[in-house]
Amino acid sequence: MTETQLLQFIFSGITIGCIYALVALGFTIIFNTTSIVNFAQGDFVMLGAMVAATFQSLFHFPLVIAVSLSVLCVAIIGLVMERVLIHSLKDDPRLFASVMMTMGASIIFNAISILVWGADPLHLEAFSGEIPMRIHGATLVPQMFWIAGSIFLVMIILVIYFRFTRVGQGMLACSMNKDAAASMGINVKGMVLLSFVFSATIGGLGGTLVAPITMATHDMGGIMTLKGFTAAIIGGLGSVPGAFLGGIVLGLAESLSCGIISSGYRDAIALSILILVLMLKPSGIMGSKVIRK
Amino acid sequence: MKGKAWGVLIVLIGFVLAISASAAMCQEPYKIGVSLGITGVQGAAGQRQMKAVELAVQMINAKGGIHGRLVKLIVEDDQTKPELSVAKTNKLVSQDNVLAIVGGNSGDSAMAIGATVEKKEVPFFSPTGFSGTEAQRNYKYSFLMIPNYDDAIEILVKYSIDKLNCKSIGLLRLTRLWGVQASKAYHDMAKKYGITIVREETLIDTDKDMTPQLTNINAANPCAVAIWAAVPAAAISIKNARQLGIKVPLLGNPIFAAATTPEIAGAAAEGVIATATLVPADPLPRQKEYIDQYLAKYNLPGDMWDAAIFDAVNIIAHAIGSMSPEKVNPKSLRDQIASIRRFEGAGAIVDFTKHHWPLSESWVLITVKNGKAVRLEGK
Amino acid sequence: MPGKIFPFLGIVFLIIYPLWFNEFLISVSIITGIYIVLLTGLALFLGYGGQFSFAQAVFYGLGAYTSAILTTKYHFPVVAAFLAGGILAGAVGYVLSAPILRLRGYYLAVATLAVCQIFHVLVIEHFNITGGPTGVYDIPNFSILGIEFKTAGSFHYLVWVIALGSLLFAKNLMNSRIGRALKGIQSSEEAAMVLGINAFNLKTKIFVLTGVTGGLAGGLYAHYVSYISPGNFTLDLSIWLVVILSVGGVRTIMGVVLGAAFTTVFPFLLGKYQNFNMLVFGVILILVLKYMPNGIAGFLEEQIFRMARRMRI
Repeated sequence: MTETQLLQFIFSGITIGCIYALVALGFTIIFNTTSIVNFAQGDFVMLGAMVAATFQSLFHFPLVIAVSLSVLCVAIIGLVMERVLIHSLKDDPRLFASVMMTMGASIIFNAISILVWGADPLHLEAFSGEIPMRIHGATLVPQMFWIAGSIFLVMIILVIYFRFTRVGQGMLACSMNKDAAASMGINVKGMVLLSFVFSATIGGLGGTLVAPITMATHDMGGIMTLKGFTAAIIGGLGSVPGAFLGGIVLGLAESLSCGIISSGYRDAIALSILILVLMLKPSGIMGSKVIRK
Repeated sequence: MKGKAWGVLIVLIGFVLAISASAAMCQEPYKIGVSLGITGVQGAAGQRQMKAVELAVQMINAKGGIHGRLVKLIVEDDQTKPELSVAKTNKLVSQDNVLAIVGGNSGDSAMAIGATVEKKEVPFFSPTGFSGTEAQRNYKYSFLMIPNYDDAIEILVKYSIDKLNCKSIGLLRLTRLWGVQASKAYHDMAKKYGITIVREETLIDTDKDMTPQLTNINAANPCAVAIWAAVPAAAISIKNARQLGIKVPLLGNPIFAAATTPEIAGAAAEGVIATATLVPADPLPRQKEYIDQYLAKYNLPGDMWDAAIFDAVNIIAHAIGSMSPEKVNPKSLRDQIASIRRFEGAGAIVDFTKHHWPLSESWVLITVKNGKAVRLEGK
Repeated sequence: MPGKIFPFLGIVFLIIYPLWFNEFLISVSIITGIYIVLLTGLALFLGYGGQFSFAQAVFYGLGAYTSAILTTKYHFPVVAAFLAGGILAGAVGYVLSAPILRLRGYYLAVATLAVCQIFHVLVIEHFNITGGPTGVYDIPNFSILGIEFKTAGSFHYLVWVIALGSLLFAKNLMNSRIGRALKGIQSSEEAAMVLGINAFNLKTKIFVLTGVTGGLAGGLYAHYVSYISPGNFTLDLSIWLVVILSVGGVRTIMGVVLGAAFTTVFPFLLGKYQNFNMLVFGVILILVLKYMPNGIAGFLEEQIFRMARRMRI
């Protein structure tokens, strides 16, 4: 195996890993606020991709407008989802029910996607063209830079948000103890709503970023949910740098095992790494020692 | 309190009532069952095939039906899942009493439905090709409407040797049945014609990035790369290949002829070579009517798979037409179909007395020029 | 007492069923029965172990493939292959429990999810053993000591004997010492441990049980449909089983039965296009979660209870 090949695998792995990281970050935000894992997270990605592709290919909006509008739409969908589903469950402490609710939402999003857009994949233009660059013989497409850049930006914003702003710390407080947080004057209901809107925004953004490479398909939601969830667990559920790390680790594991070992065994190897991580550190690489269920 | 039995009672009775109420009681029309993946992994193709089936029935009924009786479709969506296609087939046969079934638009489903109808003795048509398994070869009730992919691959290999002067091929193919079969065919052809498969890699339908696999293939220095995948993975693979700087010719499967592939792959699709039975932009004379009708009704280009299932319905109608009405039942229908000597459909040309899939002469070589698939002259 | 009438009526119904209804409807009942076996163990693990398991499709597949391969390739007698499937699945469950069951909540969920995907890959790649994507075909009908279950009706009886057997077993288990211990962990694992209950061992036992029942269900399925492929045993199925138990109700027998029946009947309910069905199902799922915390079964039981009380039976 040459250096060029290895480099190519690494580029691929990092690119897809960044998308997994974005989804994982979406999980993290909601989890940090509500202890719920949102099984519709990947569907935000799918919706972002589909809506943007529709605006751009069908309505011929300029790319910037198509992307921005799409992210806005998905943010609104996240808001509606929280109001309709989670808001009503707020006083019910059963986590199981909340999680299953998000699964219900995912089922509905998927069904609506097929009804509205059909089963054909949709195309979204790359943000700054598709002329590949070569580094040491390995290829990079410009979209990769957009993806990597976005994840870094989002991560930095989130780290600052959760650590240094009052609103962000308020969100964290909610997940640890809702009643204590409320008694400190934190608007718990508002926090939950905000967390869903943020996650939806990030998810939608991820969709617009990845669609030029992978097409917008109705089944990408389920896959993104699973991969993003896996990434979040590897990195440690609840940790923002963990989500990023988990995404990159998963992306690289997939790409490297596909290239170096065998394309058929790719998923098996990546997931075996996951199980290994969990056996060694049950709360994920950067997860807190306190295991919150 | 054992409520379990109570639960069973309620549910099963309710279901039975619902189904009985919905089953049409009319005995008059000839019923054809459809079990297609209208949603699910092959959903896009399934929906197009559904349109073709409806078009065929509409055309038949517009001419007064068969023996003055209309053709009625009973449609079931099996989500391209094999266990659902078995359940739906059971319903179509035992509940709806159809004469024949069309559908099973993926290899797995075609096999599953094939196993089921063999026991139920109802003829079944599928827009798929022969899977290469002994079981399917022996199925008397399965009729496959895509010519053997092994023959297609032989044509591609011969083209590679004769016209491309290329004897080292890299192969990227699906892990599922269809890809396994292609792999076997390529290796058989390698032995037969003395070429080498320099590197083989796999992908799954939902893969979004094939650069790792293609990087490995490229490193083995093939003079042509063969890709065997479905939409959209095939299109993404073509794009990835060109982005990686792979300049050698790309050999493909019939998916390359579908209109969506050049659409998705863009400029990268120029010059790819594949085989197909039907090229929408460049149809043979016998295929023109189908393309025009499909376009007129749906404003979409037809492709070889919906043409295949269109032909299936027409063959069934043709067979029923040549029997006397009182003699028509699934078993005798099957015998009638199996005796068809030559039928030139919109998709392929069949002679079911030879084997239960179309003749290899149905394949034509195609290439993509200016974003559209066209026939390559000089097969 | 109503408690005695309903089961009696139910059994009579099951006996008359194949004599009355057509082959398709018999297939509905057979698949329902198989799902009951598949879901029973999982319901215990979910409802009383309190944990997600997305590995049920693995046990289903292990049982199906084992029985299929032993009978088609090695010409084992069906009963032996069938039991071997259940035992192998249970054994795999035991082996998996060591690394996995110490995880909790979401982490356990992802681990079982990973197991499911890994199994899928292994089945596809090891085509020499499993037939790979081609699957295993020409699986013989079930037969016991030479008596072949050729007709759907006869198989219906066999499946329901096994299904009712597993429900009975589960019920007795929950009334036994193990059952009480399980209920103990469910309320508070820490308190249970103080009382000397080894939660880990208990969870392992239940997990192995899900394996065995899943494997047996797989064997029944393989010999019924006579053709299996990797596409039958996917993560989607595992997830669906968990979802349907949530709707049906995880802690009652009726919940399992409802879940099984609904899974079988659902693709035929609303219309020819499955995405309408899925849309409606998503809405039903959400409504059930909101308004029926014990699932539909729990809700129905409450209603019957109230009715019975009002009628002073």
